[in-house]
Amino acid sequence: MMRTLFPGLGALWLLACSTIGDPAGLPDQLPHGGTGQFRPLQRSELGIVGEPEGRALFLQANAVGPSMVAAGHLFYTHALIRADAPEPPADWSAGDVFWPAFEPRVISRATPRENPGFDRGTQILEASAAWEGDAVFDPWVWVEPDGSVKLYYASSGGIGLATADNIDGSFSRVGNDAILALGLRGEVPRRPSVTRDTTGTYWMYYTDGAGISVARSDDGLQFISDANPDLEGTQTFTLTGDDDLDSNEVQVQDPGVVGVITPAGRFVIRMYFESLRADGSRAILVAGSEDGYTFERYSLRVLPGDDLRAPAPVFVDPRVSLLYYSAPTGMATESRAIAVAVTPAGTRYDEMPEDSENTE
Amino acid sequence: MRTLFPILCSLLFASGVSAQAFDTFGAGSRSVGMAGAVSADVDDFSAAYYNPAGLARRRGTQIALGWFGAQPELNLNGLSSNVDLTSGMVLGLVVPGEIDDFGFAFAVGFHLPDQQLLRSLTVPRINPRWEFYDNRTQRTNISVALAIRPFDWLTAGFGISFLSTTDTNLSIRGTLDAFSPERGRLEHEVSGDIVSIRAPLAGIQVQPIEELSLGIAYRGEVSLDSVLIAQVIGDIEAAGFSIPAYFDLLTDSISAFIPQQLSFGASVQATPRLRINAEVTWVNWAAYVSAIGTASVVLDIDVPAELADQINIPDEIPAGQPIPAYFEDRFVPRIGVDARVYDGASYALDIQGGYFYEQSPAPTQSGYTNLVDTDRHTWSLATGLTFRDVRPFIPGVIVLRGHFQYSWLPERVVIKDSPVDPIGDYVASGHIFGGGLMLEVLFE
Repeated sequence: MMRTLFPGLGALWLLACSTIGDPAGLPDQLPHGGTGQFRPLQRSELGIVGEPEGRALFLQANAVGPSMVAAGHLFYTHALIRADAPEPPADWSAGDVFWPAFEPRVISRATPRENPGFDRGTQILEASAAWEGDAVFDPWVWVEPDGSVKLYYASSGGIGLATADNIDGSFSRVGNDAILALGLRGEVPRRPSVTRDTTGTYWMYYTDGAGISVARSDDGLQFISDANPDLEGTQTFTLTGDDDLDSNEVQVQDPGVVGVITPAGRFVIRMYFESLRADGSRAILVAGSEDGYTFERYSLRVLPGDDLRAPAPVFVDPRVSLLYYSAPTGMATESRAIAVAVTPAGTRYDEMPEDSENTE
Repeated sequence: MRTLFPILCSLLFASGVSAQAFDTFGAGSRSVGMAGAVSADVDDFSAAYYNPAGLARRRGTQIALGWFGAQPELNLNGLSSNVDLTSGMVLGLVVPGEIDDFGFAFAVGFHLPDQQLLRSLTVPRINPRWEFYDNRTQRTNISVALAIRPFDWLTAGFGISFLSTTDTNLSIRGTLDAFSPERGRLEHEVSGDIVSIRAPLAGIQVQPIEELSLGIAYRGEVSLDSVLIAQVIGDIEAAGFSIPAYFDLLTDSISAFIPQQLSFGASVQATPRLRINAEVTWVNWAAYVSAIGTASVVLDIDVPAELADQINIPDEIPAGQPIPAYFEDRFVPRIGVDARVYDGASYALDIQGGYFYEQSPAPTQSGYTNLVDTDRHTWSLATGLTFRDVRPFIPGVIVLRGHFQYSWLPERVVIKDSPVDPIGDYVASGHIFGGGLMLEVLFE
């Protein structure tokens, strides 16, 4: 019996030892709170040329403003350069778009590519109502569970709303006036950013003069805010905590929010925003809130750079977040570009061939 | 420059942790099969871990050779944490003797990992990590023990457990592109010293009547200070400048910790073919020292005057401070049975089964730390096939043993105090599948 047993034992032993030398795995699937630090995607990951690193859309001789991504589509502020474009004054900041050199701003919808980059797409909204003045800008899209879409946007008369049946559809204005004509601070609101919580309440955060204010709505159409004193149930937006930046903060503006249901089932609003500092720089920071009114600030900047603006987050999954933002290009006519960054910084996208069509 | 800081900071906050496989998965197929409830009922080489007093009960020399493996399938938010397999060879030797009715025995047990002999893991301090399973078990372990039997009803044993770990030096030299780190040209040099730490073992077994055995075993605390030194010397290329830089990191942490434990066990021979064991182990987790230790940094970068207004180098980088783990003591109940299902002239067949429950000693990680752990329910099953008809090859018997161990780690929900926590909320859960084979030769 032992003579037949020993070969079997030997085979078992060899089988048991067959794992010797196997490479170790890496703990690469960790949760991440979306606080950064974000890494601008590389040109090789996006296949899009031009400065700066992380450029998500290439439009030569065009101006682009704040943008956001919903359901895989990029909605952005867009303007064509005038044939008789005037020169900016000598003291014009190189990082700012000199809008008088461009046609009135419109809102466009870029078409998605296989990666976080986009192609030009088409114009979807231009100023036509009297209260809008000559331009519409700062789009923010909310996609309903049934696929219908709400497009919030800014104009000289406040924040307006247009809707479409689906993300590819045509947009029609809702009503004849702005849905929010005046902010809490008595300024014309701009840069709306909207999310909806698990109870169905819509939360709109917007730039209100030198700060950020909040309005809420049960239907996404009519918003209650501190600027409407005859409506009950209002509270004030509060930003708590300190940051670790050297220069003091003098103003916050241009919020970009995303509502996240964490793996633990908790609903949290993450707000990315511009922080203007006393030394003239701008940092993108993030804060979080459970109640929609009180936001706790994260102490570090989420993205390196002193002149990055209009952050717009995309929650990919509990591990990965993308952040679209406006970054300077260093070019006179095309002073800013839409760029994209990812966190955790170790996240890599497949390399893409450089797209000749995209270079125009 | 701003790209460099996260890299430096990740090193600043580095730490690691370790312990040993016997403590987590058990030693020896029979003992593992009985869920470790063997303080009052062990006389094979695994007594060098469970209760060295049991060695003095053995009447003949034992040589054991086997393989053991445990594959954790641990998840955070339903995604695998990629915790490595723990596996390796298990070797054991027990040599009993007797002088004028005074019995004694000597034993040695080895766990030799086959994935790597040594492992040093350094991760950012806020990264979630499975505190007890990731890296902790991949250690070489040697236990030696000596037991005496002054009376037939009393045995006592003492031993030492040796555990390996490392001190590590990391040196990096070269050029780093501040805005595109992947373009850097860096040479890395890593060196490590293997060091051992020791923990005492002691135990007593009392057998007031033939059908009953009682055991008490103590395993001492192991805590090893580990040092990681990292130096980066080179040039940082930024904005057309080549900037000389020097970075020195020193971390000091507890990289190996096993809490002291005290086990009380009882074993009853219920029938001639059935033995039932029960045990409870007090584990002093309150003394647990987190692997998050101190870290000090010296950063010296000679910034050109042209970039002085763009690059700010802090005069001093504050040292990282240890963060207490705040673990709590736990009692671990265990139960095991051993049944002889066949007892023939040529061979015999035994089976063992057991269960133990470990309540997690880790508090909910709602703050800065992410020392992930959950409760653990473990079921085990083992079998032993004894071949008696092996003469003239061996003057004794051969026992072929195998065991299977399954651990269920139920979901644990972690909700962070801060809605803007860098890790965020998460759910931890998992399973661990273990198994092993042993060949034992028992000489008469």
